[in-house]
Amino acid sequence: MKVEVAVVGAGPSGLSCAAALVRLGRKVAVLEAAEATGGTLRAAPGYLAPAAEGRTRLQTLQAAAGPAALLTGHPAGSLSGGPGAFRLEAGNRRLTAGAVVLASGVRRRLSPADHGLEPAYNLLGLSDMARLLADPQASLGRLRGRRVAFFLDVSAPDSLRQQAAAMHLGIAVRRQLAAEVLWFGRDLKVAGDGLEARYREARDLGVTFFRDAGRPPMLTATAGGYRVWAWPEEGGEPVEVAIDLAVLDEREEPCLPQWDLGPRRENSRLGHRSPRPGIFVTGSLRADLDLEGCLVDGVAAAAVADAFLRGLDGLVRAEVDAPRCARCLTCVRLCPHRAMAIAWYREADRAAAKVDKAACRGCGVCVAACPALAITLTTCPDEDIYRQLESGGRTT
Amino acid sequence: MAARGVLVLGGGVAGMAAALSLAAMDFEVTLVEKAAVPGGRAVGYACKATDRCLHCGVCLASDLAEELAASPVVLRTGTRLEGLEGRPGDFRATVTGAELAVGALVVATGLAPAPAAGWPDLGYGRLDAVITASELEERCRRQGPPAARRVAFVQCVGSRNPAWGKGYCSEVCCPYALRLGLGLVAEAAAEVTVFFNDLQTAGKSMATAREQARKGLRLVQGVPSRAAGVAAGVELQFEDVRAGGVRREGFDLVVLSTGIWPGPDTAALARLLGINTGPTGFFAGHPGQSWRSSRPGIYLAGSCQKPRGIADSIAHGRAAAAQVAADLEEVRSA
Repeated sequence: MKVEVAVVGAGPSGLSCAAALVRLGRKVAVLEAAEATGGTLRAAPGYLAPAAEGRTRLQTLQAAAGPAALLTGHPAGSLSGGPGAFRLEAGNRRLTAGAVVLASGVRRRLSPADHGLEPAYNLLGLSDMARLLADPQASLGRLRGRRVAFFLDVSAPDSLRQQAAAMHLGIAVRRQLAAEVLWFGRDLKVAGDGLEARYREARDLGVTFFRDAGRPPMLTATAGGYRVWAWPEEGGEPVEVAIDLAVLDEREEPCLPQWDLGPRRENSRLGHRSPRPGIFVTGSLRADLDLEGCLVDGVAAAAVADAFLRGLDGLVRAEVDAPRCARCLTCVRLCPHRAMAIAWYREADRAAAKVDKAACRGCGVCVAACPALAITLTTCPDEDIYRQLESGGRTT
Repeated sequence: MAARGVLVLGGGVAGMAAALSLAAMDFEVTLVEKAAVPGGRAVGYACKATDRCLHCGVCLASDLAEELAASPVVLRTGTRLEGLEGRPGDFRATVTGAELAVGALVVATGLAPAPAAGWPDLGYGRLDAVITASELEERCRRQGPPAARRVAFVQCVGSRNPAWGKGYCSEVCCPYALRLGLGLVAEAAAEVTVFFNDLQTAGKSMATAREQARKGLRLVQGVPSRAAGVAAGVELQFEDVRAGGVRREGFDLVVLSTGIWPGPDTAALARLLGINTGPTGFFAGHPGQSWRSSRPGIYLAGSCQKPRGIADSIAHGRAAAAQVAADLEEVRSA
């Protein structure tokens, strides 16, 4: 299968990116390791947004990304080739893509040991809690009127997404199960889309917030529950409460395919471009984003990838003056990136060497070798090169 | 060729990112900026690197401005939008001294910092040693950090209070205050205290700053209620939530971390463009597609829609550009 862009991952940012690329008229394939699209929105509804809102968003995204080839059950395998013609193996399929967008997100893992606990039935991760709340088969009824506590900033300190998840889930637990809800964490995060309003809603519903003053809460297992000691005041006496269910934050690891993405840079600047040309990064892989952030980021990455495919992203590329080309094939043979081929120019009404904008890296080998002097570099004319040479390589 | 033309209102980071992205997708872009130079607020901010980069993103603004100067985007500075007629794909926009035929509009008119004078108890305008964070940015950029030993940052000025109609977190103030504070510690050997309600330090870009701030700054939960002028500077009265009790303490310089409010022209522009504003006064985005306004053909980018930092504004600008490009292709093929 040959596409212009392969998007890896069909979570909110991947679907949002694929939908935007489809709208831009691009041929797109989406690779998803799971059996269905949606990522966290499907696997843990209620985690990224209140469950009903999450479902609506997912339906909209799926409909918008519909025209793309959605290859579910196809985890991204090995990658070869280069910009303009990446070769990608995914399950039993082989793809050729001009550009690749990585939107594979993060993997979440419950780690009770971080909280000084052993795995137990009344110990859940945030994503388990989201899954159970959305599952009509799950017997959460016995939590009715009991005490459920959320513990943040331990396995994943300073995670905006997990704090937002705890807020959505805390409200859902309070409303659906009429359980008493407690929140323990270092700092309350409200710097997300609509999060402040959710926090106020939770408070109005009677959710109790304990911010720890430098010392995280301590938990010990009791028969059927846990005993929690928390220190909301520096050097003060601990607050002691008994709870029935503990919901813990989770470790997050980037879900990256085994590709060489090039050297990691200290300051990755605008961030949608990976160090390797033609490979772009979006969503949770790139930053700690809430749902709104993921949706924006996917579309933004689509804009960047589209500009790359058009060869108009400001990077240096070769350009052929078609009427001058001698059709000697020197550039076609010499190009280290296989970006040169002979093609028909309608406006010049003749065949000449043509640059594949996605594959060209602007190395200038063809410019130097062309006997007909028909090739130049865009945004980097010869005068600029001479000026740089004369100034000892310093750019101004 | 109206459908190939796009008008971007506002030359801040979001507007520049949208304009550049559209130019890179082969559209004819006109950028209208009311000030004399593009760049918006962010180009006036200071780089906040200490001995290492703290990822404040301020350099991205000057990078974009440079990229803009070298791009085919037509820049009209000292210009405003005066009228708009037509429909998606075929708008006629009147800007100062000219009429433009465009297919779509991107509104990126940015924000206004909360007016510090609105909290007279905090002493702004009354005490010389009380300044706003924007003023500190400006000063750090032009003259380097001020020579003050005891410096206090007061968070949430104009944010997180539904009573003012601003029941939202401005998202950028904790990151900028911590970074500015670290800069003052590193370069002026200041002792910096940050008074906060809840410290908003989430995100990968905050990783370095967060770690350094926990070591190098004094972080106090509890926002001062009153500032009084004393011989040795300013005395702040605050409730220390974590340690308990109301206390008073003297500082040489007090910085008010003012939040993000809708830009001053937002309501008038909303009427002119026929688009909606939301309950907090920002332009209302489409649910799930915040870069689309309530009117087809008009798009939103950056902090005019909700408080956004520099990197988020750039991403939002690009998202708006992708939507414009897609919708205009559709208009042309229809």
